[in-house]
Amino acid sequence: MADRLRVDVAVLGSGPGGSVTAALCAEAGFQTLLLEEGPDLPLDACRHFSGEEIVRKYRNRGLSLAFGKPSISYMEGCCVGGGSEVNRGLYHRTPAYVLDRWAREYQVDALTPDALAPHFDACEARARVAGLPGRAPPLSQRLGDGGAALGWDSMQAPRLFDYASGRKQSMSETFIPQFRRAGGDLMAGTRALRIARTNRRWRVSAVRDRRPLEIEADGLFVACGAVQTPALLRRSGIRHNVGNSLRFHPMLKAVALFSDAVNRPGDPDPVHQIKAFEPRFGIGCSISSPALLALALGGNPAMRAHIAQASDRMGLYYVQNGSGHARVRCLPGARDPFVSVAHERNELEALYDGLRHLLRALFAAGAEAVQPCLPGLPMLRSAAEMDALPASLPRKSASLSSVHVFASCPMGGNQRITATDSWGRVHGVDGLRIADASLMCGPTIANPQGSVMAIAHRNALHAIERRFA
Amino acid sequence: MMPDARSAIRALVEAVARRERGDAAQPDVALRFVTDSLGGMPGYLRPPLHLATLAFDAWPIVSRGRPFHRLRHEERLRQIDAWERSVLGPCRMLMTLYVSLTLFGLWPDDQDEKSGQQENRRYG
Ligand SMILES: Cc1cc2nc3c(=O)[nH]c(=O)nc-3n(C[C@H](O)[C@H](O)[C@H](O)COP(=O)(O)OP(=O)(O)OC[C@H]3O[C@@H](n4cnc5c(N)ncnc54)[C@H](O)[C@@H]3O)c2cc1C
Repeated sequence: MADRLRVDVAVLGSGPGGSVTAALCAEAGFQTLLLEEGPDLPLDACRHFSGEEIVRKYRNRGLSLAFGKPSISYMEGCCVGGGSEVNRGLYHRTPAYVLDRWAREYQVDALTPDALAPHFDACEARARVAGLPGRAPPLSQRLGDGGAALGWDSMQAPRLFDYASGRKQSMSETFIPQFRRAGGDLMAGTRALRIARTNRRWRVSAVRDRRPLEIEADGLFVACGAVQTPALLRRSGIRHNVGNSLRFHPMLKAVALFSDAVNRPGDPDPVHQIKAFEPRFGIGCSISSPALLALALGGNPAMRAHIAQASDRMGLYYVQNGSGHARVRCLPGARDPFVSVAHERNELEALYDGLRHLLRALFAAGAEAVQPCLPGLPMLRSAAEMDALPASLPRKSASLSSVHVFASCPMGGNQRITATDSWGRVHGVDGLRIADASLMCGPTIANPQGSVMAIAHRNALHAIERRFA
Repeated sequence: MMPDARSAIRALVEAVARRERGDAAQPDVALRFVTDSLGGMPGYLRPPLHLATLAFDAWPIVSRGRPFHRLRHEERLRQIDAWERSVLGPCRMLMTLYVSLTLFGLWPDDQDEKSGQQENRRYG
């Protein structure tokens, strides 16, 4: 016999979308259950970007792949707080031109920067967003300097971070404690398997500690992230424009070797970003621990050989854009969905062009050597040596990675291409809403978590006003 | 001598560890990370990965009379190198997976002061 629970509102998935939604529902006085497949671990249960963190907090322990030419390996959090626990919290509001495009093509109502501003304000009041006090660490500053030398503007991205306490403003530090204080129930280690509508209520079939669990709710929000949300809906027979349009921000990387220390133990996270070329591509800096340098340099032994002696002189940088159009499909009997991705040639070429821009910026920043992180490509000693690079991205050997996934169930009034209406209500299904990155109508170009939170905030208030109808 | 996936993975991790870090290598730490990671991969990928690993281990049986995990260090490195450069995509993918996980696992967190969740407060 399955255990049974009855609540006003159930929210499936406790990432930024689910946590914001659940906190608002609980605060509005509804008996709210927040269900999370992953474990409930404190923010500092493991070191950030460590092997232990990947094993304990990432979905598939970091081994998720969208199959294509080239494939994209993508990362998602799988723990209370979802991606917000494992990410760097780099923060931007959705660019106005992105919202404008979504409103036009997808016919999303009331999604202007002005209409969304109060929701950003409200989220930022609860999860603090701040710029780095003082000067950025050298690894970061170098990117800014290199860009400036070439006449490209850069900026220092703010973060969801409390610099006074040194703690990231993840969901487990912000919205989830607020949800609990408002009387909400969080159930970790519980995976939703299927949802069904019976007797004007939603029934969620879940499993917890290998025991079946049935949950009944008047209102239901699915916020399992941009891959698992369409997988759950499709398993439950809901398929209209669900899982057909998953997008990424795939990255290509480069490692620079400088003549002096840029990557000192204890430095804060790097924050410089070159946004002058967006939306074609954007450039930024990554955490550059020896392990992450080694991982990025898997196909480049010449630069990798420097890690043991000179990792303090090395910095890892990336370029990303919105290449890749993917589908999420459930395989019979398999727990994990299958994701396949196709690329448009011009998008991949833009990404490769972005890599060339990044290499130029790193040489302009004074790098002694720069290694594009693609197997078999040479380590370069000067910008002139870039002529030796292949004319276009070597698709066979290229390995792309992404930490941003979205747009698998886009919202809007244009029913031909959307899965939900402008407020996250799934078309043609009563009382079912999506509340996560799946709703975005395409790449956010900027780091997406701020957009996910603000849109979840907007849609949750809309739902509460209508009592989840 | 039969091919064996677990022995092949151990041998591969040890070979990469020695190639990369010589005496400083901690192959057991890397091996734990590799096996922990593989334990979480999507279920539908496990059978093909297992078969590909067996094929990798069996590869030198014809030419050398022994599976990969029984080869000497230099011979192991030559096979890894050959598979990394193979014209066959699945061979390259297999090496990318194992070598990347090993490389990451070779730099354990206790050597890496930058990876603390609470960042140092040197904001100047
Ligand atoms: C390594 C990394 C770095 C990143 N860096 C940044 C950054 O600096 N800035 C930024 O803006 N964004 C960043 N992101 C992206 C950001 O974290 C995501 O955009 C955001 O977390 C998406 O929120 P979400 O609510 O859509 O889904 P998620 O955060 O993915 O949360 C979904 C949750 O649902 C749970 N779940 C899934 N299926 C089920 C089920 N069947 N039953 C129950 N629970 C389920 C999952 O376990 C997960 O916890 C990064 C992501 C990663 C992985």
